[in-house]
Amino acid sequence: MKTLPNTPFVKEAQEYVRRRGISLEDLGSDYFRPMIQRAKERIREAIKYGIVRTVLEDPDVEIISYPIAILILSQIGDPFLSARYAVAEAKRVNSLLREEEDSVLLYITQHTFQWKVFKVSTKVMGRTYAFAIYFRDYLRGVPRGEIAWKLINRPLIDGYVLLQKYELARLIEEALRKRIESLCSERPSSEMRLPTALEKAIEEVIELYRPYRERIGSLSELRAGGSISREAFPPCIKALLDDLERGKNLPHMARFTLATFLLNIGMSIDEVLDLFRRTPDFNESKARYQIEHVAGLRGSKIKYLPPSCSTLKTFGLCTSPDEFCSRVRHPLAYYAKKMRRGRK
Amino acid sequence: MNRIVYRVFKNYYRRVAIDDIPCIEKREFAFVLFDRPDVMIRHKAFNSINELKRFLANATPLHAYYSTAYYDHPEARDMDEKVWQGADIVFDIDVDHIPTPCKKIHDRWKCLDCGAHGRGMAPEKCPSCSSKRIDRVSWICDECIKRATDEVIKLIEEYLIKDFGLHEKELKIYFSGHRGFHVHVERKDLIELDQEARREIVDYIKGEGLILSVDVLRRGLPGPSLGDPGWLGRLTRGVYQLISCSDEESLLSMGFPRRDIDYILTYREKILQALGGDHPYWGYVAKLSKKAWKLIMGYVKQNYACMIDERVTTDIKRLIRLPGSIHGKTGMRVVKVELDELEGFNPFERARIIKGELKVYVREKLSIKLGGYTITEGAQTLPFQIALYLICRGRAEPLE
Ligand code: SF4
Ligand SMILES: [Zn+2]
Ligand SMILES: [Zn+2]
Repeated sequence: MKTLPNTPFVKEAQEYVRRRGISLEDLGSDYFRPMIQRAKERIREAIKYGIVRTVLEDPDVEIISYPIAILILSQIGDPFLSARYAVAEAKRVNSLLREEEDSVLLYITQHTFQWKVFKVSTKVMGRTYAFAIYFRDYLRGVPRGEIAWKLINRPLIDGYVLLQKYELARLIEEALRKRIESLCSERPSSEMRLPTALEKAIEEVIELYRPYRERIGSLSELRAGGSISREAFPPCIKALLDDLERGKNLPHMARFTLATFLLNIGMSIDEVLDLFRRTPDFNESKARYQIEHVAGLRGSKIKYLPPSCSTLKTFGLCTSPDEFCSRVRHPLAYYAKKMRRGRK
Repeated sequence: MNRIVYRVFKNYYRRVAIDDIPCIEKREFAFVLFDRPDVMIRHKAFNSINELKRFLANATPLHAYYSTAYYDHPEARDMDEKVWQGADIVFDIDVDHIPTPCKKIHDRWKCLDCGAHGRGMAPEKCPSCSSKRIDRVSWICDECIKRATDEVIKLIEEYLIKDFGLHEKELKIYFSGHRGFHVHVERKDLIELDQEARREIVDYIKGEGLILSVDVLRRGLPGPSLGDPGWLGRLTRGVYQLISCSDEESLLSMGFPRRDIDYILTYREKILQALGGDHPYWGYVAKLSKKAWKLIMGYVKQNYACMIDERVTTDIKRLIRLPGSIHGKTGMRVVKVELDELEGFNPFERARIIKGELKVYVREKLSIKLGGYTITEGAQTLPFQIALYLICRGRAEPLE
């Protein structure tokens, strides 16, 4: 099957690795050197470019390097690095799938993720939809916080959501990202004896990531004792900061909300930028551009405000409002009122 | 609480047959008893329907609830120890959340902090002091029930069956014993859906977050048509309906700008013709102002969305009234209703727990019609069930 090395996460590829009966000790042998090399390479590409390339020179290398990369990451146990890798690997697969035959996408969704998906050919609003997915599976995998992905803005018939090919590829990307993240976060047992070659690879990866890791400041430094008080943040903003803290991948609307909120209460562009270094798909020049844009330094020269509470509710970003929230309709109002009260 | 009420409840629970509850051993139960009406006893668990029945017959609860959630250890006191496995999806339609014109006549509210009061639907917080401690006196009249049943039918036929593809036999409808209905979805593969996923379902049904920007239409991209699935069709039908039925006065009262009103009235025929058919043309509608478009979207939502109580559906650890139990504030039972029984539903018949008549003294003028009976002030003989309802609401005394 041609897609096996492309998509080493599919069931068949995993099965293939298992059938080869590769053990940890085996990985120390010379045969596996190129695979460990490629695994390192995968992670390096993720760190540097935010996307992993597809290399098809040696299918065996491509397939086996994938679980090795995950093994390395779970040994390191850095949630930021794992999240960044998961995003990068999932992006690679997304771009591949857009070019694949429909049947390949169908096969992956059904066998790897056990989704109920089938092929259709339906035209709605001038668009041709090629797939229909059971709404349960759609809801489990859909990227949150993007209004175009809200169920209400999707054609839903008889329990099935219609999707175009690139949209199904995006759902697979999301699901794969989550899967890799959870695989990487499995704590290895302490008795595990790693072959030297692998130990060395782990060290190299840590070394490679160090300069990136160091720039991710600690959130507790958030102008500690200064003019900004995290205590006074509304629950929605606190939740977003918590997600950021854990290296979670924030959807677009969440980033916009956080950036505009922090800029509006007086944080500088560089301070906000440093916070966003924690997002797994961080890209410095892109992020800077976006932050400068909402700060009103570019384009329309409008300084954006964060969305109101009702918009945040619609986007599912107001998950646990507190008592104080009933008095406000805007997160900035929440902050201003709390600060005023705190000073009294 | 009145002795008569206790006796009626006790009799009921002695002979009642409680419907089977799927996975009863994984659910948490909770009760309020007659002698401690302010305490909820929680974390009860039962292994079988018979065990539950025995408990009900012995304890005669004033209120009884069970969890929509399934737990490994439903009896554990701590949520973490309970270990959540999943939860049924439940929809709640309650007249409390639906503005009906008759509420102005029969409902009252009073602020417990500042004493402000008024008629009609109770505000969420007091308009004069913002307190949330509000005492509501609310009734179900025949008109309110009608509104609620219409809403349930819409929920089931338009949304759950057509859009979500659920089957009628997977849906169980219960009269809540008071002012509304619960619809339980019994489909195994949905019980694990998390809160966020349930919120998406709620938003869909309530019409929240619907976008079809007028900008898109202005760019000449194809728009939806009358027969499109789900909200696309609803939206088109809503726009069509608004434009075809409204006159100058109604558009003005909705707040449409003058320019848009003139435009709609002048080109009405043309707009409607363009919108009909399989390949509608939205170019004319796109000429309306942003303000008008916003009003249109509001109109569509108001007319097509379904008024479910979002808190019930999104709460995956909710306690809900036990089917077959009696609602202690009304003396009516939580009873299963078939879809085709909803039209003309009379709670005093279908949710009845006692037959016969009772003479009561009604303490105040209520201006309300219950189950076809007009209630007057003073002594009167009423069907026992209606009398019981008035006694439970604290508005009447038995005279026997
Ligand atoms: S109510 Fe407003 S301020 Fe409070 S959490 Fe929700 S969105 Fe944030
Ligand atoms: Zn008040
Ligand atoms: Zn009424």
